Amino acid sequence: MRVETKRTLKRFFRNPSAIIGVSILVFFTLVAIFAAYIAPPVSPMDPSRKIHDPYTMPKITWKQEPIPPTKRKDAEIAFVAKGLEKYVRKIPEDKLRPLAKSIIEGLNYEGKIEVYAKVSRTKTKIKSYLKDHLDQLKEAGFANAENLINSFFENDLVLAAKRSLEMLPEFSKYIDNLESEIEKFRKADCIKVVKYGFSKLEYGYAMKVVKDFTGVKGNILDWMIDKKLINRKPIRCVDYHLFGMIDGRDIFYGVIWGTRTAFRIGLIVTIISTIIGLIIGSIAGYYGGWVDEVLMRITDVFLSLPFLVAAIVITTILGTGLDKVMVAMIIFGWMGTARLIRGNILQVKEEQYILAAKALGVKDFFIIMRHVIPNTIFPVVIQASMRMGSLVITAAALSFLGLGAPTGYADWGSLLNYSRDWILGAQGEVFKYWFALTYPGIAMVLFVLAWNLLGDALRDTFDPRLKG
Amino acid sequence: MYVSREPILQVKNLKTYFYTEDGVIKAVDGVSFELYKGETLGIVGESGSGKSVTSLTIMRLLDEKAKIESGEILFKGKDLLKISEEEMRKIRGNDIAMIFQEPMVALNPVYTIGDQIMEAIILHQKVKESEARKIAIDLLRKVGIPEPEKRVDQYPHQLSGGMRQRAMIAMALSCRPQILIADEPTTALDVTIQAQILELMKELQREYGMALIMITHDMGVIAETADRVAVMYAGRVVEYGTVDEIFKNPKHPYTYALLSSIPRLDVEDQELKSIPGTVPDPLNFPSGCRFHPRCEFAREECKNLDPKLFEVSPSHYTACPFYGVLENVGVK
Repeated sequence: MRVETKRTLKRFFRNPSAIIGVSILVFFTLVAIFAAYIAPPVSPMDPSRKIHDPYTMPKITWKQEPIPPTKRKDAEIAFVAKGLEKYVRKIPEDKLRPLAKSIIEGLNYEGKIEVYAKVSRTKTKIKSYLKDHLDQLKEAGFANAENLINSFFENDLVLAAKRSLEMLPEFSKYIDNLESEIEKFRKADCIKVVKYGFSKLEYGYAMKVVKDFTGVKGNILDWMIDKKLINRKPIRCVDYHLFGMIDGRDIFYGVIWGTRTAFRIGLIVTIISTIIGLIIGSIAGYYGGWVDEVLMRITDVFLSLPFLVAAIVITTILGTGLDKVMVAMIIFGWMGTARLIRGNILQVKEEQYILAAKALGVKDFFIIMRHVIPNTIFPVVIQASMRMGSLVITAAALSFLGLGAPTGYADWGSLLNYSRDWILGAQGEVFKYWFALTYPGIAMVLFVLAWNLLGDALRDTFDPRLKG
Repeated sequence: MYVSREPILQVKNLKTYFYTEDGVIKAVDGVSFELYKGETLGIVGESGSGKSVTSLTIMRLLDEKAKIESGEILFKGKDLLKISEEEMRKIRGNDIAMIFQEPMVALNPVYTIGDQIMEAIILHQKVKESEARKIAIDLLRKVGIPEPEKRVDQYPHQLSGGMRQRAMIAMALSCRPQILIADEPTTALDVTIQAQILELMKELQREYGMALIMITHDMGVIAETADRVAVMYAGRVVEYGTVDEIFKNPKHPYTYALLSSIPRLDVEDQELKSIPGTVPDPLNFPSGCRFHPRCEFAREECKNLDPKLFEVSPSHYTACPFYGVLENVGVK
């Protein structure tokens, strides 16, 4: 390592804001890398998971099931239930509907067993439920209703579903569809399935089912915060959910996995928009003339559009979602860089050291690489590092508006969005739900602060004009 | 006295125009001079007289707005205006080097001065970095920078103005050029430093046997360094001769006015003389002799004068055909 590099590094790390900024960022990076260990993702079908909610089920202590059903089976049931639900909606309101509903409810008990775990984890519940409805079923003209119940006992719920459909002549035409859908679901890759079959379902839940069903390992689901309770209220439950719960989701999990989201948004958007800005700005600055004029007027047009309105328009065209929001942020995020680099190149182009280098016979390419770029790039790097933080705030704002991350996505902005209704606390207790806002808020503030401090430190250290 | 020697650089009827939206600026309008090996040619004139544009034209460093209308720049018999950009690039720094007015801004702030000197050395001499560094340190020592081993790793902002100009000179000399163009090398410096820098340049010129073009508006600098002088006014050479001839026996009213406006210490209660009026607008120069609106000896004929030089002696030329009037006045 060269002496100068060492000296620069030394100077950088002697800068207090660099130390603070880098430490916070290192901390966040570690959190992002080890998120899976800090807040292990839990499968919704995993019966060994602990669900304790002192508010909604204060006294029930629930023992673990000795033989959990296979995950695959559960996923299948959940899928069938969901699929049926879709068809039931198409059935006209008549006497057949209660039956269909009851079947689906029964299936739902199976599929979404974790939600009703507090009531019962056994199939006896379903059995009794169906028995209760047996009269109803028979009344509706189902001679085979008992058969149906039996198939539940046989633990073959798909068959049960089929049988129940066979009993309904109106349903029969859907059977083939259902089967082929199940087949597709089994064969297709997750993303397609999600798009195809679950477009109307809750995204996070669907993704989890897909993961369990296809056995795909990795991160497709990790950044979804599992919905454990129907209750949307913030719940303080330090024993099992360190930061409490909101919207039935673990805030701790959301904050930890939200770090990844923050880095992802920050890095991708900053890098791409900075590159676009660099290209446009340097072409405009270097060539000048009408090229400059055209490019800068385009930049002005982009700058004149209010960002939030533009982002709303873009998400209207492309649909909501984090990637769409990122696209919007890239499309409306390059102008600052373009202007900055153009201004700097215009300025540096006129500097005498460029002329002096030319007078020494240095080649154009080396003049640009050695003399123009090093004198223009630092403001861009600094701006990029500062923007990295503010982009996370922008993404949070868009999530807050409901344009950004889908429901359940581990994103700090979404967590704040959930706590929107509870910001004012409860009657007479202003700070009752403080945790819902504070933890994701602190994470966001620290993240932005760290990038800003880093940007400051970079400027102080690497801008030679400020050295001395 | 110079006739026997072959000129190393010959500028013939050089015209450099700038095409702007407002009109054509004739920054250099028919300039001719020669430069002989080892001598110093001073180009003197007010701001905007086209001195710097002349030097940049020689180096072919003008931007696109400038157009070289006509003329020849012969370096060792080769026309610099006709060769390719690549050939010109090889000549720059290697054969013709240049130092600039502002040592503050003529060095790149993000590199150490060592880096910048080494850049030129590596570029033209194809040596290794370690060797280039040695050469750079030697050069810095030669231009009188103390502790060159330490200074070589310092950034421009860590050096004083005089030091920076010395570093600039070291950079320009790194490839032992045959011609050094110094564009107001001392203007931005303290008077005491000015003298040191001029002394240094003279010394190095002797040692390297370079020809030097000293561009300045300071008659004192010319008197101290130049062998011959070209006085420029509004894009033209108005008088051209040896330094003795110019200073002792000026044959152009402009030169005369310039010399009269130097404040003198030996005359008490002297009113500081200035040339009336301002440098003419380059977009529309006066017709005929461009100095006539400000000239105290102007006549009616001056408005329709051809721009050409009249020979006073084989080494002394003037653009004023009525230079005889100056003999009666004498230099104050």
